[in-house]
Amino acid sequence: MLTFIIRRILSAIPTILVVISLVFFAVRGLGGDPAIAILGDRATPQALEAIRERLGLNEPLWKQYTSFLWRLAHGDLGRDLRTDIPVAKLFARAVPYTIDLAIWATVIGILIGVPTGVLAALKWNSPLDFIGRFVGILGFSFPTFYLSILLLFIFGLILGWFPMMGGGGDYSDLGNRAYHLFLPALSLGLIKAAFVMRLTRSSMLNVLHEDYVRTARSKGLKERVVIYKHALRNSLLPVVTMIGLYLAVTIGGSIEVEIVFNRPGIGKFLIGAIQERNYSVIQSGLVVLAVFIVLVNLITDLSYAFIDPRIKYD
Amino acid sequence: MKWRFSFLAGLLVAALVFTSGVALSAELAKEQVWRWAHHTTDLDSFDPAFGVVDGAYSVGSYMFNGLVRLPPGTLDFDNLEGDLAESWEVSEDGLTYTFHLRKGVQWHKGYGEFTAEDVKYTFDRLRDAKLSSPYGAKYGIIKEVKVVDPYTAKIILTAPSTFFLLDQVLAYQAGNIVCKKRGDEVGNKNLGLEVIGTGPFQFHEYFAKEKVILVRNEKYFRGKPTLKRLEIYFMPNVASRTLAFIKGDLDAIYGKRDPKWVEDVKKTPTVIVDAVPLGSGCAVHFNMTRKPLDNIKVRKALALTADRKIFEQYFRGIYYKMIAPVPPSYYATLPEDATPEELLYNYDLEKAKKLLAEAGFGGGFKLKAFSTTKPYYLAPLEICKEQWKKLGVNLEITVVDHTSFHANIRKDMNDVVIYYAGRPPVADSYLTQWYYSKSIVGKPKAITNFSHYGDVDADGDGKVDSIDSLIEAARSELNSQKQRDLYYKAQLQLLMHVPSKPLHELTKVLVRHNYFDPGVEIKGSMIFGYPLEKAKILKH
Repeated sequence: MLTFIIRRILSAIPTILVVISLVFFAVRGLGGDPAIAILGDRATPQALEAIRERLGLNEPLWKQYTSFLWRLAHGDLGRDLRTDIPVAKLFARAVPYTIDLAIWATVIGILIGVPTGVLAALKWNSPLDFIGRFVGILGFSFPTFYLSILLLFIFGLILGWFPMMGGGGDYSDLGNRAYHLFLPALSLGLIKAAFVMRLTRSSMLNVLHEDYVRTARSKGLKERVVIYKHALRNSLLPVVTMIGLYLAVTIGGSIEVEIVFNRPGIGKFLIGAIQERNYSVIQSGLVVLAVFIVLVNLITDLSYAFIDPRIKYD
Repeated sequence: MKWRFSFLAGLLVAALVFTSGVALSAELAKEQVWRWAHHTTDLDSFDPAFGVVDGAYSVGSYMFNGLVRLPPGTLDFDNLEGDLAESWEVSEDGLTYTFHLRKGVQWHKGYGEFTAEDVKYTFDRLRDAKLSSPYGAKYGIIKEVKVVDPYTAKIILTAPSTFFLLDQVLAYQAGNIVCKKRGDEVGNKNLGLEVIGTGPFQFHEYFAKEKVILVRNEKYFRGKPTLKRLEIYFMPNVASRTLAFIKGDLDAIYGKRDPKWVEDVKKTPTVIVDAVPLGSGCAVHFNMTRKPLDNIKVRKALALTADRKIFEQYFRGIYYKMIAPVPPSYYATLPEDATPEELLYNYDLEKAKKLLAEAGFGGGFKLKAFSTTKPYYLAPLEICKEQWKKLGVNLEITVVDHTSFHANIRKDMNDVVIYYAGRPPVADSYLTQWYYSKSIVGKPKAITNFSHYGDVDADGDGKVDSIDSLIEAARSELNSQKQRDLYYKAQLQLLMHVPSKPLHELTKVLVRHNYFDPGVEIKGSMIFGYPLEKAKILKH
């Protein structure tokens, strides 16, 4: 197992390096000038030039690139071009909120998506299945942005049950944190649930037609055992794979949710940074995200063993 | 975009069903915490020499004072009042300003007493090229700052400037006085966010991209403010900002420069919309180095077809008609009744067609422009496009994000530029930044002269046209009527030469619940926010 983990981490390094390089050159290809973004539209070219010089933006691209890699290799994520605050310090506050959001959205997605998917598969072609499929398509095609505003409107404004904004102040205050997290996680989770439901349903349908399920039934096992022990367990493998892969999409969706709920988080950081051409924040933010996604994929791979004992890592 | 807006509008209207009027009392609310949301994503710096983001210099203004200020809640430029200076006098030659400072004013967090040394430090620092302040260029007019004694500072200018108080000294942006002791600690660079001021509120905590918290200055020289704590959120998403405000989680917000939004939000019984100047002036600037815009007849034809009535219908309650190059709420704008009818460029399609035919472009031509995604930039350009179609002129608009737009127009990539800007509220700032020859894009001291006025022959008589000498003469003219006349003359010349067509000034949109009482009547605001030193939250 350990060899597998080390091998996976080592093999992720070139992937991360490619991501870093793509991001580094892509943000510079966006057009726009960070100096104007920093000094505003009334700055003279002299002031703009001075700030470019100070930030090293006048250096040749290769030099900027190598010094960025060198700093990164030493664990230095750079400083925010606008506020001069170390990016690591900014992210240290933002990342836990995004992880909270991604994890709880996934939990909600699984808790709603798996049972409804199983139910829809078991009641295949029944009105229940039809409703499930319809809701699934609806959820899948509904923009996170609007679902967030709708939930905010209903549960925040009209019913007044949940706060309209923020992340809950002190991170160590668990109750307040959960209170602020519920609606944002539900916004992302409901959309994820639609995805998980559709996937579980189709995977379950495939498995239910397998020979071993027929055998299980014919040897007189209770339907509950057939479904939960034989069918569901086997049908979950692709679901788990996709949930892992879908996490990247969840984080993409978290950008919108963080903006609508005014939550702290890495998505909100990135959007702001792109608008400001805040190169150091964009680069470091995407590196952190890339590492995060690689880790999630690793965890996904490792979780296969728990679902299917036939899988061995060594 | 439209359906997004309809969705939001629908939610707002529905919200009214669930929100009822709030009974007001003159009593103070128990909790004196003011919650406000800005339209910007974050701050850049509270250092007055560096804060250029709307949110930054607006919030910064709660922590600082200048030497002089406008009476709170007004844009009464003729009645400036002392802020850190109790009084001041100007020498007869207009070159020396002597400020008599308040005694006993304390810097936040035990940084000691404010003195003339701080005044000297503030202005010397701004003039220092090594600091690279975006506001630095306009402080080049200062020759020397002298400390006469701890409570008297003299500022000597290189040339007289009647706008010195309004443009360079006013408690606004770089005019706010910073603490020398703090500056010495940080070094000659951006002071960042943890600043030390003398203002009614002091810095407490900052959460990037989320919020900033200020607490009251118990030793504020005008007396302890009633509000104890300010929670200022950065909420660029207008829908969530609006919903949080309607629910009452926010006491006031910066609204949306959109008349439909203003009408919708006003339907909530407790909401008060303060659509006030100082707004942003808007003109369409013609790049006179490009053919056929080098031809005055072509520019006149375009100006005659950009119909202000359409803009008025579009922007309704946040619109002020702008007929002169200087916006209507700025000092020394050319009055409409002093402007000849033909220089108003009111809509006249037939005349425009005739002019275009005379110029040899009766068949029309193509123009290119980059625009930002911001709706209030894009909409006027699209209105121009529709209007100019009637002349056979095809305006190709390429929409890019706001940062790219600013970079592109400074590279002289547009044939026409639509630009909104709020500037120090004097004719000099507008005329200098848009029509002074040194401000032409591409030059070392370029700012925002996109038309190249001052470097080209605008009227086709073979001579380069310029208002440089009028701007310079007006700056040093001490007689206010003569000075106004010079500015009027410059504006009339611009209207004759059509480097741009002035379109409108859009107001600021400050929005609050009636239980937030700013303590003064709001007739105007330089910042994106309310004056707070006398503000209070009433029981509701």
